[in-house]
Amino acid sequence: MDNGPQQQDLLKLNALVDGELAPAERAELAARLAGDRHLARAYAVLARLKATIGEAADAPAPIVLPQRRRLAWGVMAAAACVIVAIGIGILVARNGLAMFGAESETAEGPTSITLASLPAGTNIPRLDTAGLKLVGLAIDSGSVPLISAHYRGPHGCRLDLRAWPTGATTPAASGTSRQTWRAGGLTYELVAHGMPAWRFAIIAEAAEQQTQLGADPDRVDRRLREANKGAPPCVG
Amino acid sequence: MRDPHGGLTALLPRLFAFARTMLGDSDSARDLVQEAAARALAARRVPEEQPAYRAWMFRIVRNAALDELRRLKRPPVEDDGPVDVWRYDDVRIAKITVEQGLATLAPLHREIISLIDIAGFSYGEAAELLEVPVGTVMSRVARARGALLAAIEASSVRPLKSRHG
Repeated sequence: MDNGPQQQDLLKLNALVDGELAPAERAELAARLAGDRHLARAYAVLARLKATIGEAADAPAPIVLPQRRRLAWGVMAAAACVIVAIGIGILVARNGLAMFGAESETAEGPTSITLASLPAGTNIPRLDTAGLKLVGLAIDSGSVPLISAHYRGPHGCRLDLRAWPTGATTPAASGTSRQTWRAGGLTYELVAHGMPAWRFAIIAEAAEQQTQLGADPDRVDRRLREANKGAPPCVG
Repeated sequence: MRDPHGGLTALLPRLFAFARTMLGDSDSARDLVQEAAARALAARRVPEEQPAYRAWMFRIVRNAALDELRRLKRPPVEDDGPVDVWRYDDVRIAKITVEQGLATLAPLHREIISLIDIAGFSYGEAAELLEVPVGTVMSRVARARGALLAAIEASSVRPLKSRHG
């Protein structure tokens, strides 16, 4: 590499092209570029390369956003806000604020609760990445307040989620697979109908994580994607 | 409630270009970004600030692209060879030669070029996204561009001469 720029110079040249040099370094390198044609040529090559690569990003993206989901997000969020707020109201009325811990002690009431500020125990898992869409949410204000969520997949797969205050008893739901867990003062029960056990286990784990504080959304998404790979139809 | 995905549409061309460069295939990139957008729209926790949202979206697409590359058994490899831009001539640099050159690069090189030159991330932002020091980003950029210039040089494709010289 006769007369060629040294590796350290190349790092700086690239940084200069990218606008990443500090003012003092920039001034120093600019002064050298004015007097070193080899360095100046290398700079010109890199600058042209960067500009040409950037042209690739100007091409239109053949992507169509799933408008229905975008709409569904807002509608679902608003609906979930109202429904879960009602559920919280029922739970609070029946069991007192203590079941939600210190965070609820400052709550003004159900109407002021939003999804973002809900206690972790009231999260309704999203399973879209596993191909299961939330098709229903309901509050049963019977003797035991019950939050129910229903999910449906494209191959006859059905999942039902229920949540109720921990300590209360409810009749067990029927299904081919069942998993329960506790989070945020609630007991959750997830039931599948005809879903392969391995797939249900992954989905139940992801659902449980979503109801826990501090769950890693990327990890949850990865698990749900795993559950969606080569998923056979549900029978039963 | 404000739609936290208000800036997603504007990001799509860059996300697509990023994915296309990572995967070297337009159809796969389209499917990948389409799925990533759907996942993002279904996410419960979405960054509210625009820079954080942008980084979050690129992280989703990057992770999906890396998964796809692993599935295709094309793991990222580090190229520690020397960088030599001195011997190259800028007359061979054109959109067609750059696109073909990018397709031949190692995924690690395509990734850093995509982040800096296509997505427009700063070194600091790229370092945060890749979870590496800024100095590593700096050296990866230099190596990747050197590798791209070498690929352009080795290609038999030559750009047409510009009418304006």
